[in-house]
Amino acid sequence: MTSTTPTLTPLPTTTETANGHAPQSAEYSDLHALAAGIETNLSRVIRGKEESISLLILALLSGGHVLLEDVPGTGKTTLARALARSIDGEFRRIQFTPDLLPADITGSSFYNPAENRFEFRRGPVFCNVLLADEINRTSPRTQSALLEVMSENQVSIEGRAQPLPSPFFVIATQNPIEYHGTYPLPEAQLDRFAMRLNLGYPDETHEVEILFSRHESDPLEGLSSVISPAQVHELQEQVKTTRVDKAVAEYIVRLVSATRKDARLRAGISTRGSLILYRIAQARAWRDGRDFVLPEDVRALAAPVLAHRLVLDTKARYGGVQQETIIAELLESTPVPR
Amino acid sequence: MKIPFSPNRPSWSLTISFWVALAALFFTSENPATLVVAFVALWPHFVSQRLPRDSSAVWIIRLLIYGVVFAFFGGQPGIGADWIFDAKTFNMLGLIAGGEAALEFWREPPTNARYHAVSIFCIGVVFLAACNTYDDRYIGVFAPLYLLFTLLALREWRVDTISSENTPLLKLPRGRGVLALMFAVFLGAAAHFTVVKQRDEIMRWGFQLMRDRRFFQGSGISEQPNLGSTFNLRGGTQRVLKVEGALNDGHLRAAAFDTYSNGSWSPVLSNRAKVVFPESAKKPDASTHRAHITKLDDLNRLIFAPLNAVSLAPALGSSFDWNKNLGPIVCEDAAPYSYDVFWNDEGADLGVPLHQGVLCVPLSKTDTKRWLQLPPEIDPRVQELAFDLTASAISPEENAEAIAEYLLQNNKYSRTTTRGKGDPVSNFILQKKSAHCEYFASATVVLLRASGIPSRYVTGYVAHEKSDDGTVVRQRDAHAWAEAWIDGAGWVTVDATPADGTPEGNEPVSAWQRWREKMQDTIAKWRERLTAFSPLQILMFIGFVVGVYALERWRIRRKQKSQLSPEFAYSAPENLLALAARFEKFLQRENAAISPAKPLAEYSRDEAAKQFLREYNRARFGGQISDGVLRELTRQIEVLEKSASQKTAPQGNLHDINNANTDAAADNN
Repeated sequence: MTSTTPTLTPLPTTTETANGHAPQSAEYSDLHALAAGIETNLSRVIRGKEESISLLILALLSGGHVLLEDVPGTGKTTLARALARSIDGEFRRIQFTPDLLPADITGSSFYNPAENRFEFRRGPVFCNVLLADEINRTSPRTQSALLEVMSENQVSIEGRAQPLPSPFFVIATQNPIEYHGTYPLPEAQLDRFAMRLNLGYPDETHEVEILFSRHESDPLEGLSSVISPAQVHELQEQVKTTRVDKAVAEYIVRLVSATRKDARLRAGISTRGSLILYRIAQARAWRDGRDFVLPEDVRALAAPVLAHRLVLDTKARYGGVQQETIIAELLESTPVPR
Repeated sequence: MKIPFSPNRPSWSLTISFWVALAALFFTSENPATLVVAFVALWPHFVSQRLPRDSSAVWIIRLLIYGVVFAFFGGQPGIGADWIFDAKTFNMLGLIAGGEAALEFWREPPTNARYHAVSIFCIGVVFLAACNTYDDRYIGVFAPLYLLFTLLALREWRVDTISSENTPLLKLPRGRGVLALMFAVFLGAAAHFTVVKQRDEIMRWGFQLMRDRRFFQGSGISEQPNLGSTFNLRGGTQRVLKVEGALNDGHLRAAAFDTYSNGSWSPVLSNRAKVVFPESAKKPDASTHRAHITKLDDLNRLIFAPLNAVSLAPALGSSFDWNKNLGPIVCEDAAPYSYDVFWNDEGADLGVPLHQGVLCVPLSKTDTKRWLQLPPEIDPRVQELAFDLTASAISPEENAEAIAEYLLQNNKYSRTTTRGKGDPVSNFILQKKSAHCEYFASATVVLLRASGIPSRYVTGYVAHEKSDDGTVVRQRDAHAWAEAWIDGAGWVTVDATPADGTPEGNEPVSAWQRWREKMQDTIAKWRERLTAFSPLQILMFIGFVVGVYALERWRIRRKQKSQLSPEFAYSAPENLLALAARFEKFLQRENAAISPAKPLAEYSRDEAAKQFLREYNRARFGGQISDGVLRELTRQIEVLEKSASQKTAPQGNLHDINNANTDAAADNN
């Protein structure tokens, strides 16, 4: 089986990144190749989920964090690990348990008797890619410690701010089916995630492929990194240069403000939501090789970026209304800039 | 008005459930308009044009439906065989609901839905209206079908939102589902054909059944009253008469019978004075009273009046058929019709050659013979009993009183009884059984005749229930009693039934019965109001509907305005917007309707259009607008428009544009 051995032949640019020679100002097309490299790398491990993978990369490009939500065993953790491996940065994984404390995440000060002073020991958040596994299994106190870090990109311990490395990318996973012994994320914390993705089961052809790909070894082992943290940062900066026409920004605002008027919703989408949609739309346009954002970008991203921010009222929730349905109806009723 | 095309056909299962409901309504009401509705509801399956959800056309059609239903069916008496509640009202309700459902089929379905929930509701109303019948056979056939298809329709209410583009328009159940559906349809069809084939037979049975129950259930009056075993008051709460003004006797009679034979009375008394309109009625004095009676139901056309009525006067524009002095008085008008009854205090000088009133004809010799006739099957012991009862009495009045008193003392009221062996009346008297008014009345007549007093059997209603506007008479107030000829006094009412046979007098009325009465009163009142509209009121109603429509229109306009309010109009350079408008117009040639909520890219099919859109988008959203770009875009759109007007086939367009492009390139070179 040739597929079990690492067959990835890194692209020229990725070879450089693997050696740590990141070009300071890469060509536009080179950066594209980098982004495409991550995508090919991930699809070696996660089969048949191209759409989710490309959305995950858009989140990375826009500097947002991702919540993977699905039943156990659909590849959430594998996807997160594969992404971490693709980036030549520090990867940490926190398995969230009910007894986890905030200090276990952010780090804590300890007394050094030799030097007779307190020293700060960094927690696992000081990394480039953080996998927060089963985030809803820990107490709200610990959850909020992580989420605060996510929104501020720094850790404040005893009055001192410790900046996190850049890029800092969190992939949190949670199982939406089982509620026993969990602390569901409150709306305010869900809002901090740029996207919510559902992987879902692979189709039958792909599942067979998955079975054979693991015949001898884990394909994850064979993955090599294709991009350096500095390059990711550069990509993120590059994405920001994409032009957004005023009409497209207005389109985003109209979509968002329509959710605030919807009677079925207890809470609409926050300004943070529109900011993130704006940025990810830029990332999508950039990835598609455009230097301007189209309304189509906004439409394509509305469901993954906005749906999890909607808070349905009780009647709608028990009436079987789905958050995605509301977004779809919204797109059907909001005029598109021409 | 732009007519939108809807790719979504109405759901077939919903349509079939609609047809089942309409068929049920058709069979119970025999109203051909239901077939028209079914036909109208079929067409949206073959035609793509739909009415916009919020358009004036919808309101105009709705107004039309209501107008047609009220105009054509509001004035007709209730049709159909045997209805539990007011036939006409339910018939109209079913038609209006059916019209609404059919209209709903013609409207655009809501986003992501195959149909609107209103359709299910309206079809449910149609079916409920059809259920308003005693004939369980139709409903037994149609109800399972209706349920099956409604459930199937509910199953495919919503199209999967995310993949709505790719969902097949008609998701038919597979395998066993199809078999079950076919089986149900087959069953329904078989039942239908059986019913249609056997229709005459069924109707004959129905009439036979109804004849026996007629007195109790429907008309209140039978041509040949039969002493039944039950006094069934099913449906008896319906209002029959409304009496305004005072009556000194609540016994409102319709027909009298003279010949008794083996448990039934016949024929209808044929002897009645011709109508005479007494002067006293024209100039009512203190002793003349007037009661205004309104006939509310259509079950018969009889005129009910108290025995002592000196005159009956039809309402203006209406007339009575005195039936050539044969049988009861009949009014040929459709209900509700009304008439006046005049009666005098006892002893008043009428000034007319009538002994008592129009209903009381003095005895002639042949009549006396008939009214004293005792059938041979009467038990001789009854004759003996009559002699015993009247032995001490000296006058006919006392005779009658003694007989009535005897029956009141010895027999109890019951709505159900058994006929017993032999002659039912003799059986009733001698066994001192409990029975209902017909037995009491028959027994009274038999005993009176046995004691030598001419008497007859009378049917009608007892008016006793006071309401806000006079006295209300319901079907359950149907009653039978006796009339006796007393020399010197004329005809008098002899009612030996306990509490005059009123249900309240004999057994308590259940809360359910009271509630039903209340509902029926409400329905009847609404019906009266609807049928009694003056032109002004109709005008006001139309004005109201138009007003509501205008309000609705205004609300929608405002909503749309707020959606497209100036502060929210997308900012864009004017010259580019003009190009976009032209392009949209170009796309409209190939696309039925262009939604403002979808990017134009979704409508651009051929390569030239896509090419234009790419360049337009670069200018529009990429901000690269220059005179050169504008010129190029204008040129491209002109080429597109030209090709579209020349040819209709998309391939032709592409070819043409390519040619035009090369031409332009050649020109530039």
